Amino acid sequence: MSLPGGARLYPVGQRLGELHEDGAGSRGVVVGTGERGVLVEDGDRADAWDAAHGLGHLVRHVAWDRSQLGGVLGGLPSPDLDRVVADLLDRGLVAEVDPGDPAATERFLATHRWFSRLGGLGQQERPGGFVCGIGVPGAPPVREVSPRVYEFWSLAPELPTLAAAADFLAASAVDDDGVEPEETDPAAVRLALLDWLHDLLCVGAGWLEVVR
Amino acid sequence: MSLPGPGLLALGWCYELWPDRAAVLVGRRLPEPWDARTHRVWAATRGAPGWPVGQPWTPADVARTAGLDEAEAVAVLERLVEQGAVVGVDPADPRPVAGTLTLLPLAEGWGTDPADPAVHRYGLGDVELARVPWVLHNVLALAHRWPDLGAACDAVAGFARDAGTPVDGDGDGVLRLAVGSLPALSALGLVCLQPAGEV
Repeated sequence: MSLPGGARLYPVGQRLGELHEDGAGSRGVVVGTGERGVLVEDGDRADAWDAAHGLGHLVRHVAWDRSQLGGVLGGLPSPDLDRVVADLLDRGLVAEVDPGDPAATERFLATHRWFSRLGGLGQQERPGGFVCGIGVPGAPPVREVSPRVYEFWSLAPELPTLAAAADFLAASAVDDDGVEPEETDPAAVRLALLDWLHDLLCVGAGWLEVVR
Repeated sequence: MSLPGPGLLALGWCYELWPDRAAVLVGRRLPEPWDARTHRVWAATRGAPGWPVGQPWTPADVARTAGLDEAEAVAVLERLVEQGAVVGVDPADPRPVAGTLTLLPLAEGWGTDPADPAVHRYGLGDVELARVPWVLHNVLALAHRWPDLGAACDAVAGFARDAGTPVDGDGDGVLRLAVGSLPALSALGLVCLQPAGEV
């Protein structure tokens, strides 16, 4: 079942860090998209691109949409927020996807792919069941996620699109013990995937790119 | 079999780690999890932080890092070569193997150093892992966007020419710098190698 909220906002591209020049402060964040880095200028644009990754304590409870982005940006007036988001959308630096719009969802899943950062730390038993750690070997996990989200994180980099990753996960779940019907239904996995992404994006465990 | 060389490179990305075994994804293959000793040798094949650029990372270096005698390490390395998880490389002439490899970043770009904007920083979590020059930064950050590491280094050499700061040796020079830096960068978890065309 989808998280409550509106159309999801996803940052697109690989964070390459702040650009400094001699004797000056940061000019903005460089984001790798296509074959070169793009400068997202400091101020509302860079803040919005950062905020589109989500906040770790919220992204499992609410859909990361414009209202969440506005909350993180300190109550940026709605017209300003819409202008900033429109600019990032125009530049291909964010994607906005309404799970209630099947055609838009399919288009997003077919035209974007996932790359993972960090490393896998394996399963850990917790009171609510098993979780899987993502982080740096030898250090506490940066994020603990459900086994399904972990499976996506570990396998999606090898698959050409998010849609292909969802289909692969649905097909491979058929042989799992105690599997729920929605775990083997490709359409249901595609919808669930829309909410898994921020679970990983919020800690920099990977990034989205447009399929070339 | 004899090992390729003179240097070695580890391919793959560790996505499951347990106390007694590990699963490493090499390209699109999902191998059976390795035992702890095999994983230790594979991890040791990645190199060592601070390793001099261009110096081959040899089976003897792997054995020392893994805490095994060389014959034992070589036996494991031979199996890893058979699985495609280790390849040989001559850092002085990396072009042949570079056409079979793709480089993926695993750490986050932290941007340029405010005190020295020619230096790019990389980190994981709160730990800064490396400071690299602009040319190498372009390889680390962007190489996965080209079909293979050799093509990526040629493109990065083009960036440098466009910027008016050509690299000695052009694409071959960038490639020698990139491949020669891999034992230091892979060991830090900054990057991993995968077979070209499989990611």
